[in-house]
Amino acid sequence: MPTNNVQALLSTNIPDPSDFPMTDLRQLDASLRCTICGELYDAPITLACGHCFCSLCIREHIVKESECPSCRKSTSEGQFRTNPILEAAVSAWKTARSTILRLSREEQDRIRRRQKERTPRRSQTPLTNGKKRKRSTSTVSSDSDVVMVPGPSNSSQFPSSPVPSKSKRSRRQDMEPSSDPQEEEMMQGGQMVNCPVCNVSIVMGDINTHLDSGCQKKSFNTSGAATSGAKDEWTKLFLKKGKNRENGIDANSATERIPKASYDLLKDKQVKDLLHAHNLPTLGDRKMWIARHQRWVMIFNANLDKSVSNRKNTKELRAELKNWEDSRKRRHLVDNTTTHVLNNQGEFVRLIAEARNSKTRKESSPTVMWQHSQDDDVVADSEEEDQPLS
Amino acid sequence: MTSISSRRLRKELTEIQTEGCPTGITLLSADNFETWYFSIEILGESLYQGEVFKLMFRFDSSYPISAPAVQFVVNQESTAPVHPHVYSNGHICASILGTEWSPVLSVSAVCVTLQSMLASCKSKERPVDNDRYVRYAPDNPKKTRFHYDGK
Repeated sequence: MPTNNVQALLSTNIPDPSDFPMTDLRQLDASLRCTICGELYDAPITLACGHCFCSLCIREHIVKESECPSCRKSTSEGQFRTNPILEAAVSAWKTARSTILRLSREEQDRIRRRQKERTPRRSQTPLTNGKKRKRSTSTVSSDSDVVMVPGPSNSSQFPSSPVPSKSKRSRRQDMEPSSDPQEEEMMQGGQMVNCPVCNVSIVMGDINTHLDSGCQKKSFNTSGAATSGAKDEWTKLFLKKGKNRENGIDANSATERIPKASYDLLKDKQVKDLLHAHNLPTLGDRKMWIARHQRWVMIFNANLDKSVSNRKNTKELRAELKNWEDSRKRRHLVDNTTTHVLNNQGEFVRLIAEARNSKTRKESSPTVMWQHSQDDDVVADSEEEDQPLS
Repeated sequence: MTSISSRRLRKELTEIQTEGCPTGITLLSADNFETWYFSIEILGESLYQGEVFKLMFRFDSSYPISAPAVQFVVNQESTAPVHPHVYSNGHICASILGTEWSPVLSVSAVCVTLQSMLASCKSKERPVDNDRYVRYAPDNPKKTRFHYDGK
């Protein structure tokens, strides 16, 4: 049974499809939510396979795995397309949501009252019939008398068939990236190519300079300025831009995404300069600088995937970065040591025993590949509704 | 401020509490957003008829981008199922808990997969390298690099 800790968190209001009493509205609400974070889409990004995620979510994911989380088709940042139409739909839904929520609850109450009057026994049926939402077919329709029909859960046949390995939901296969994506780019002039390292669009003629600079230099019409003294000038230029951005003067520069840096090639000072360029703190060690810069690039670029009116200013983004850093730090702290010790006593005892054992054994094998045959496919389906199981 | 991982876990918990777990799965405890326990049993015809196992989920702050650490609880009250992919210390060799994890998966999706993994078992036996693995296994199964040679 969940205790107060979680209950307290549960009582704070986090909007969720389950807020709605009716299945059809739940589905509507769920369909406008990112399947990674479960929130209403924030800066929705469409991949070549057609699946859609929040920009920040998919950017976090793509660092680890270069495939679509839903269908596992390979993808890359170059394929990201913003989806302003969906974004507009989401903000319209956000505005309408509370009204619809209120109306649907009123409607539900009315139905329940009517039921009570007609058949007092039926009203004891729970609101939701206890089945998983996605799998149940019974819809609580608002204009009819509600009769609870049990969902098709043949639990007896359920586990016998293996889970299908891939989702069959790639409806938009015809939307493979065609030859036109460059046309959507906001940059003009020259033939644009995507940098193979950082995926930023670069004028073809500038690609070599760009690569030589460790993906720091973007294309400029006055190309060829990549002389030895250019480095310092560049830093200055960046610094200036950063300041302007903060004041909100140089609105154009904010439409350029920050290119990814290949940190391994950079010296400590250069990594620091990257942070300086965006007026970010240089606290901590190199590892922290890199993590900070990576996160900043993610937040900053994700912000640009929103339509202009929804974008946050640099100050808000900085606050976001700080929150992220704080929450990472907080994770390692234990707020109540006594309960922590109590909760983990078994674990500690076990670890101590383990440590003693390994000491006596005097052998160690740090990472071994554990190999054995695996003849059945244990890949969960990403879309539960497609499972033929229950 | 609530982090993405606890917001997402809260949503999953709300769903479990309002809609219920999949058949055969019961939430035993979810006192925080770090460790959850479930009981799992295989309904219908299977080698594990009548057996109930306890599953432990451990989440870190990067959930759902990274997979939860999932294992069977082995102590006085409960054991790990005897299965070619389950070690006697409760660690599970399942690709979706490692390389095949996807952030769109959820706690109940993992439960259902493990359920069907057990249900489709044809012979009750431990993995061939069980003893060797269990002797050196790290506490957290996520630290093991399992080798999946399934299809």
